[in-house]
Amino acid sequence: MVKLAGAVPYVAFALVVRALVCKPAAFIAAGRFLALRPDDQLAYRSLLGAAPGVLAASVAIGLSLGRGLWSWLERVRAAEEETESFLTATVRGEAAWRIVLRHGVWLRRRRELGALLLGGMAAAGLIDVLSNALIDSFRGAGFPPYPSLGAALFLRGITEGGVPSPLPPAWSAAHLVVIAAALMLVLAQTIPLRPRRISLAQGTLRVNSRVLASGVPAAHGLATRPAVQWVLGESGAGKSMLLQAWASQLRDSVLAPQDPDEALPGALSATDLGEAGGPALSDLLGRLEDPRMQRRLSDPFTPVSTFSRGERQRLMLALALARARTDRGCTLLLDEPTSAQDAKRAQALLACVRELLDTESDGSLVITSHDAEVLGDNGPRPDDHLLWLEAGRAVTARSAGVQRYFAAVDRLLTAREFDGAGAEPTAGGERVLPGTLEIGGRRHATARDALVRGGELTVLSGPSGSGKTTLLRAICGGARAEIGYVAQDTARAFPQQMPVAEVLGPQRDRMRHWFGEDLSAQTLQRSIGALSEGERQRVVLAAEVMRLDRIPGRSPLRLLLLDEPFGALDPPAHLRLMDALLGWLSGSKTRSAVLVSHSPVVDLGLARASGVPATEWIIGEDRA
Amino acid sequence: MTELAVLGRAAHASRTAAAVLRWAGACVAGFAALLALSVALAGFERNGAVEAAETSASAYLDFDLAVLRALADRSLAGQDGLTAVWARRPDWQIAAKPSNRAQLAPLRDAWTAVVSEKSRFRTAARGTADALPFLLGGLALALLAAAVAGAWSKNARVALVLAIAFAAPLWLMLDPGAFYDRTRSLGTGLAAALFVAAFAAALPGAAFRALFARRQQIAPARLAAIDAVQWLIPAIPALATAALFVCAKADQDPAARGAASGFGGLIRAAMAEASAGDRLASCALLAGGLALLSFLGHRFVVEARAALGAGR
Repeated sequence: MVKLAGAVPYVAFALVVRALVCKPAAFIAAGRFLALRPDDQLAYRSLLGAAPGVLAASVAIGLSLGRGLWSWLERVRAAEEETESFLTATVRGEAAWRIVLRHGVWLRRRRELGALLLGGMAAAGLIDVLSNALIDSFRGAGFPPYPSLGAALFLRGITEGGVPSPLPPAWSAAHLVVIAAALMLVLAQTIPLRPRRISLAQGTLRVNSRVLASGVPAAHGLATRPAVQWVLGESGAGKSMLLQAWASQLRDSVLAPQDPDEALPGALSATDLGEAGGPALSDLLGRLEDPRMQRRLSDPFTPVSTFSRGERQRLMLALALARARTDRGCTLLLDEPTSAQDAKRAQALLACVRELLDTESDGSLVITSHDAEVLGDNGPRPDDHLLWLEAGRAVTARSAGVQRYFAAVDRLLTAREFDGAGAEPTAGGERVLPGTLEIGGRRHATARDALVRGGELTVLSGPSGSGKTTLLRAICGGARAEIGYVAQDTARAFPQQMPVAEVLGPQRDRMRHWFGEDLSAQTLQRSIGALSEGERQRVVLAAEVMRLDRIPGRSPLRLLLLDEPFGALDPPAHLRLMDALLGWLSGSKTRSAVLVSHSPVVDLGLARASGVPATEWIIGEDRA
Repeated sequence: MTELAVLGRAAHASRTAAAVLRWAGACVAGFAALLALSVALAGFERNGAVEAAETSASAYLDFDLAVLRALADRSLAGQDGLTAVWARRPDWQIAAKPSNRAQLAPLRDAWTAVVSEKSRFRTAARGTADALPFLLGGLALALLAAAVAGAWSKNARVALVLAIAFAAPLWLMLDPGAFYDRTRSLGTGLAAALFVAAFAAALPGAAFRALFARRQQIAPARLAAIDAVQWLIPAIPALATAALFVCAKADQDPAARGAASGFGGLIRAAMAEASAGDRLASCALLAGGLALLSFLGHRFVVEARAALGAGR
């Protein structure tokens, strides 16, 4: 009910005007009438009894427009508490009310707040005009209207015979202006706040007026199956935008975006989506080793919005693959299809995708991925086509950037094969896990020997939806250590509009260590949402590490929690950040880190190869 | 039809039935609250002060004329009886006003007053029942417009035609005669329903949101209607006021006049009753009827969303 707040100043103004201006004006206007019709004095006095009711109704209506300022703030609070930025800010020690007001209201929703206030005032104005016109119509014939803020424009005189004068044209125009302005203010709220138009014309990929890449082929020139069209590039190069542009150019195409919420309507159930997917959907979900989702196809009362991110992604991909199976000529565009899947399910998914290549087709298969295991074992084959996006250009040849990229992939895959024992862990350790943990409505026991130690990396793994994020949040809530938290999606770790300087904090004495140079004032003033994915990852990780290092006193442990930070990163960025993290841990007795990873073998191998002790926690079915 | 399709339709039917039952329960609760308000008001208003008639000045004018006539007769007759006549002069003074202290009437008397044939409660309930179809019809039209816009948003030409068509009812709001001409009304038919639907841009706004939104591949019409609920909820008090307006204004239109509307009767009572307490009671019931309309309209759109979506 921000509209309540928007209506308050208008209604208050109306009340003041009524009290100060309208009564004398009414008497002046009525005086001439009463001189002709003195018997109506009682009726006129009755208006003063009716006016409080009308005013009270107007105030009540104005104040009840919308959902109420308090309930709007309550919704903002509930929405903020579910965001990763709320957890990040709570770990940093900010008060909940401050987070809601600063992040939820001011940074994220101030334009919405302004639009609702204006819309509320406009609607309150319309109601005022309507209610006073109604009261006016019930007065005796020839009686001058009781002036209100809305109807005051239409004080009409009376003719000698006591008949109301006709409405002057100028005042009809005033009515049109007032009503049209109010309607435009209300309708303005239907216009999207940040419209984004993606276009691909004459080889140039644009988002609104900004050029992302040139030399890009049109969708009609894509390689058809059984060849695969790969689109690769570093984070922020424009791969997702390119896939969206191609999907809009092709009539018969299915796009599976990186964020499943863009393709799956949260208000529908899996049963509703299953009707669209046909019989192949259940079969595909079985192939993806998701019996729980297969059962959910028969549950029409649970909305998709309650599923975990991994489950939503699997459902979206199964729908896309089911469509491709039935329509052999359609083009399938997959944007980071394994970003929220564990290794086992990622392999099963890729096997299903590869089946589409068994037969020739007029349609294409387009894949973008940063997953080293996808690019390595199931990566580009000799017959496949590769499009590399770099520095605003699209190239098909193997440039230095491509070689650097695949060198990083090779290094990640090599780490997977590392079989050394690594450095010996230090003695002792701190227990940061609670004794039991509630996941999915059930209590699970945690291992008593699950300790974190100074200078050690702990890799946490488990199937999608098993509760890894829940476990990290439990550690945030109860551990006897200084905690830093890097969210799963750094795009949501802070409000998009927050400046980089605020994210990094006031003391940035170690920026050169993390960024190689001091950041310029211009960079510090940029909003975190304007950075590329890789830049954002570096800023967020540096901010948490610098904050932990700044904590004074002889703290027993400084624990950094990282929730799948590498899921959306390209392999070179993955290696850069992993090197920075391992460098921070190396040789320290007070620093430790818990890293959630979908490729635990890779991250464990990298840690051990660099001499940092590493251990693994696995979330199983009944025990963490 | 596949098993999932059968299951989906059965679930949809059960959700719709549950939504209808919940809305009917809200109606019962709402009207019961209006009845309770009426009983409370009836308990106060029965002992409200009645305005005493003021003494007419004519009696004193008559005496003065009689004194002047007696003086004239005496001067003509030569008798001295003036003092005796003056002693019989009426003693004029302002009559003391009776006590205005309100007292609570017994609950039984208040109940009897409320359930009587021409009680204010029946008038308010009749007014709410008269206006409710316009409010629900306006909301249903807005949801339907959003669904149609969501289904056809992919085609640019059709979307443009739909945008113009759904904006057309706004014309009714730009006609000053519909507001200020005491002899005209919007009637009680389609024009009145469209006026309610278009008031505060409810119908056009719901349609425009669907046209501007990203097109959904699955069930676009259904999803557009679900999304329109967010737009309509803040506008419900405004639409309730518009429904009250069209019903009460129809009283003024000779062409549409039938039985006087409930809300029109309450407004007339609020303006014409002699006692201030009675006038305020009529105002309070008018506000109560409006609040009941808003409540039932809000429940309608919330239950519509529950029936269309998978969860509440």
